[in-house]
Amino acid sequence: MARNALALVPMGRMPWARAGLALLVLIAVNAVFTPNFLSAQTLLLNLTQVAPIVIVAVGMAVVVASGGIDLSVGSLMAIAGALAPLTLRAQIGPGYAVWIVMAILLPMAAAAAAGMINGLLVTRVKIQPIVATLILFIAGRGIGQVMTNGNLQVIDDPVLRYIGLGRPLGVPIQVILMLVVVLVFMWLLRSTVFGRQLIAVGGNEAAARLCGVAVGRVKTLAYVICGALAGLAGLIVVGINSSSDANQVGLNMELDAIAAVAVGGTSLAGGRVSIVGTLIGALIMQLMRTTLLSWGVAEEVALVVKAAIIVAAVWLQHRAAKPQVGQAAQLTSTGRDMAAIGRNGVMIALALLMVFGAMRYDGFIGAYNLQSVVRYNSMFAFIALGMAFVIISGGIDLSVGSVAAFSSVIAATMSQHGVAAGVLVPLLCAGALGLINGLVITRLRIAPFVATLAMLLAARGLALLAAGNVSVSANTDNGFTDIGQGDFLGLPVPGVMMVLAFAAAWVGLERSVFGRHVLAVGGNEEASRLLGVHVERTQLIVYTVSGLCAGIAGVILAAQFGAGQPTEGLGWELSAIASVVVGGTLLTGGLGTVGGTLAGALLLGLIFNLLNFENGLGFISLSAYWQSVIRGAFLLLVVLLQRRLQRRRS
Amino acid sequence: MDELLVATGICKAFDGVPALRDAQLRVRAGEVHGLIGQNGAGKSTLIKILSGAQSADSGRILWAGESTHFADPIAAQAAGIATIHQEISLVGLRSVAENIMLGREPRRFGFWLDRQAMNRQAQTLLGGFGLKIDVTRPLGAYNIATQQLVAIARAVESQARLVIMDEPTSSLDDREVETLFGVIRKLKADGVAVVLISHRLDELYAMCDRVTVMRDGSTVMQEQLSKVTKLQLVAIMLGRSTEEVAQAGQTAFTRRDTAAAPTPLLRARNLATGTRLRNVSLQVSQGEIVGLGGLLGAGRTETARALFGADSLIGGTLEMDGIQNWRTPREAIAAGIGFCPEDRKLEGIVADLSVRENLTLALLPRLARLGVVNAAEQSRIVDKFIAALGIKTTGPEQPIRELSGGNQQKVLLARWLCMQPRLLILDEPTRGIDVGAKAEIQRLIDTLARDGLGVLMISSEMEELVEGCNRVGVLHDGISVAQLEGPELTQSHLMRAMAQGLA
Repeated sequence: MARNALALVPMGRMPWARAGLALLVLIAVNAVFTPNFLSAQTLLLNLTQVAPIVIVAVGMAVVVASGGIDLSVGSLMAIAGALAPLTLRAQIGPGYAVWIVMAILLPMAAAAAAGMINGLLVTRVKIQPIVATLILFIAGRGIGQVMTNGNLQVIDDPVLRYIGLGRPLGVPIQVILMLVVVLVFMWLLRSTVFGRQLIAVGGNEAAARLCGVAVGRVKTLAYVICGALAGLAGLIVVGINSSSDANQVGLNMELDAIAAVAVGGTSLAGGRVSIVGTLIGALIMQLMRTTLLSWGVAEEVALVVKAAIIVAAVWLQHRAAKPQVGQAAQLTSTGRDMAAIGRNGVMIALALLMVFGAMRYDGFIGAYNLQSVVRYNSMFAFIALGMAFVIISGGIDLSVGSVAAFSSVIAATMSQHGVAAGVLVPLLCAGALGLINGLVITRLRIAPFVATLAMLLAARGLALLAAGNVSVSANTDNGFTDIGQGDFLGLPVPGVMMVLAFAAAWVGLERSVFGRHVLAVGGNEEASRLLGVHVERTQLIVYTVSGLCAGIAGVILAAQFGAGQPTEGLGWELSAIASVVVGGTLLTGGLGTVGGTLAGALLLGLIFNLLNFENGLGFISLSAYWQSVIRGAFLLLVVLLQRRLQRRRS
Repeated sequence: MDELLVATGICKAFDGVPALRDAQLRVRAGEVHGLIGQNGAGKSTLIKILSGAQSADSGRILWAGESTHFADPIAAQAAGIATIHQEISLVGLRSVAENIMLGREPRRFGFWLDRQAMNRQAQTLLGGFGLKIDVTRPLGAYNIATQQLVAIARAVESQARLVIMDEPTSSLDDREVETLFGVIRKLKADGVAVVLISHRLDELYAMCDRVTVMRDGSTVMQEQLSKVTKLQLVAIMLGRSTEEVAQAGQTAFTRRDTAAAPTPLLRARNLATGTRLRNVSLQVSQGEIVGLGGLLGAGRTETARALFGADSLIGGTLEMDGIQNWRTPREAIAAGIGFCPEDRKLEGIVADLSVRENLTLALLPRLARLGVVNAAEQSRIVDKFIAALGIKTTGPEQPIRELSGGNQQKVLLARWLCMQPRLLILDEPTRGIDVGAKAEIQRLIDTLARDGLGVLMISSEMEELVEGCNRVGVLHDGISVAQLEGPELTQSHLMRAMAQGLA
């Protein structure tokens, strides 16, 4: 019945039609079953909560339409949120009126400027959007934290508070702002040269360029818009909270925005966009959440349901869309050279960092220090290893951080029943989650980005459920914690595990038939299928391996802390992607190495280590917030280095 | 006689639109079987079903006398059907050897890859094709023709009983085609059946025993090739009478011998790029169609791209009506140039966008005031060109991907015509377009030139160059080697000029 109703809706002209129908159903169900649902108050509350997400999601939709993605939106919100009260506090000279305008415009301008950096990295330096915006994702929040020293800024200014709490004519101001943004961008995309060119660029960049479209300018503008809207959303959020906390503002916003865009019927492959759909998508996610909460369903379960919706919505839309046709082999520079360059880049960076550390700090090259670097970074290395396999096969796995958290909870719980149970059961569970990722991707044919985004939410929900919202103590007496804290032949146990795993992975990728198939599938999925490779089976294994790797990381986490950590692992997926990319693996698949991934993971870990040493010297005292800024800067450096080497070679 | 493959009553629809209705194919062991039909006749769909890449809605497949259904390409390959698809379906990032052995790698202990054996086997196999290349290098590093031969070698290696080749010669030069034909003869001698899809009738007559003709998703003829004339074949393919077909020339161009205008519109001297062009010069005048001939890899497409500012020059000068040395497509467009690229899908159409948006993509800035598009004016222009060019579409809002190749090409032509250009560069304007639409496009180009447009046309079809052009510049290895016009412009002269330097 439901399926028939959905089938009646034409897909081509109105990509948001199905999402709209789902929204109507949701509203109808709520109207019947949820008390007071149709009251103005409930309605406005829902709209108020969804407004910042919608505003960011519209910016995201613009970037996605151009064929890109922006992971930095949440961090840009944090920067804007931090900058507003700071500007106001700096008030000197001219009157209040000037400063309050500045306090609104400056944060948005800063966010737009950050967006421009994203855009220029994508268009000029030609870094893939996911990596380019990853840099500001990592560094941006750090910048906000550094600006405010990580402190909560109370906002007592009436105008700034008005942006969050004002109610002209009884309607919350952010709802008005949201509607204005939606309407302006609907018009912009439909009726302006920029809008039409944007979609053409996302659909076929080469064709657009041959039609005289200034591709670089159009794409950059998309990122600028996205940044500016993120800035606006940041202002609204700090207005609502009457305070600005750079640690919290816009956290996970990139995922909410991407989910809204995808659920709303915009193709993540670019070239198609629906602003109305994005609005509807965000509303669906919001309504679902409040519905479940009002029915007394726990927040954790709501996460799982949210995940299911994303998958279901995208699957429904996907069924009507055409299958992606693999492109013919097209390469100017040779693949192997590129892999070598990537690896060289990270190796050079790693070596430079070591030399720098050795010359500057006593004890840096000491056994103790190096061992602890390895001990505390081994779990990130495991995550990166699984991610590397997924990325080489042409996919992506955003769920690794949550899966690791989930696994740590299970490990801690099961460690009461012995070490074997504490290791095997979480691995089994994490592997199963990975397998589910694989099944959703291969059977329902949902884009890996979306499928694993849903798992990110679901696994987090499961972790919180299993832990009952608190951290779970592990058994510290039966040797379980040695997995994280112990030594084997004088070497840290997790480090030994890491080396063994990477050795096995090297054999798996470089010397086994399976490895060749992973590379082939990533290089050209359609061709591999026609050539007789079991594509689905390969993908299933790859995602299961990634789940297992995250599971091992979770076990190590639980053993190291002596407790399962349901809230740990936030943002690990993006750090892992950074490690993999820094290690010279092509984000589009088909090319990559195990050794480079290890170097990439250690490189990012070493930066934190160096920071500690720098503070130890006592010349300057850098807060921990600098860590992410420096990591981001370093990621930028390595990526630029790789591009440079690549260009020189070709 | 033994029938190896009997496919009958095959039907297949996409989103309710039938692609195959009652298609039939009977292939005997050890024969070379031609399969022809216009674009959209259903050949590729039929092939995909036989190779397991798609499944039929209904119909029966008998393979070696047994009723079968191929669930996926692996099943079809296991049964002994190897397919070489029209678009090269290999993994460019992986080595040549890996591509050849993918899915059947030599193993030890079940999982360990035996690299030496893999490379050795691949090397030996390619040697049989006269191809001596480094099999450990990525396939993508080699040119299209080599990749095509690798794909063919792979299919042959699989010890298939039936090899299906979908337009294998479209990107091969004469020597490579001869190599391929040698392989086909050898396969035949070994008792392997070959299904050969080709638009080139000469090839079919040279190679095939029998032929199957498809039209509109159905099989309309199955015959011994020696019993049908070319004329009959074309007539059946088009669904017309032989008389109608006989009256038509080879192409729809009208012969043009008019002298060029004294001052040329476009003048390009000594063009060189970092990649392939070394020294190319040419001129195009108003109302003239100038052809650009040469073998694959001679630098024709590169010349077109350089003229349009899409590839940067390291040497040479461009001039058009006082405007000189443009560097980007945008500047070239401003100078009055339009360019229809060879690969429509990759560089021409924006598949998901409507006919309207595709048609006006280049025109947008001129349709706008302060960045806002004048929708009424846009619709007016789109409607005008849909009517003028006879573009078959359900309306301007239809996504362009749903149009046939010929109609897509017309939209791309309209994209430039609405800009009122003075020079149009056309790279293989009729490639991959069925016979009927081909003639229409040729006629259109002809008319445009008569109305004063300068045209530079790249074509791999001798007839188009000889019948359609005022002059033909011939390239070889990135250098202009000859210029043919007037009585000199014949197929034999052209061929000799193109082959220059080969001997």
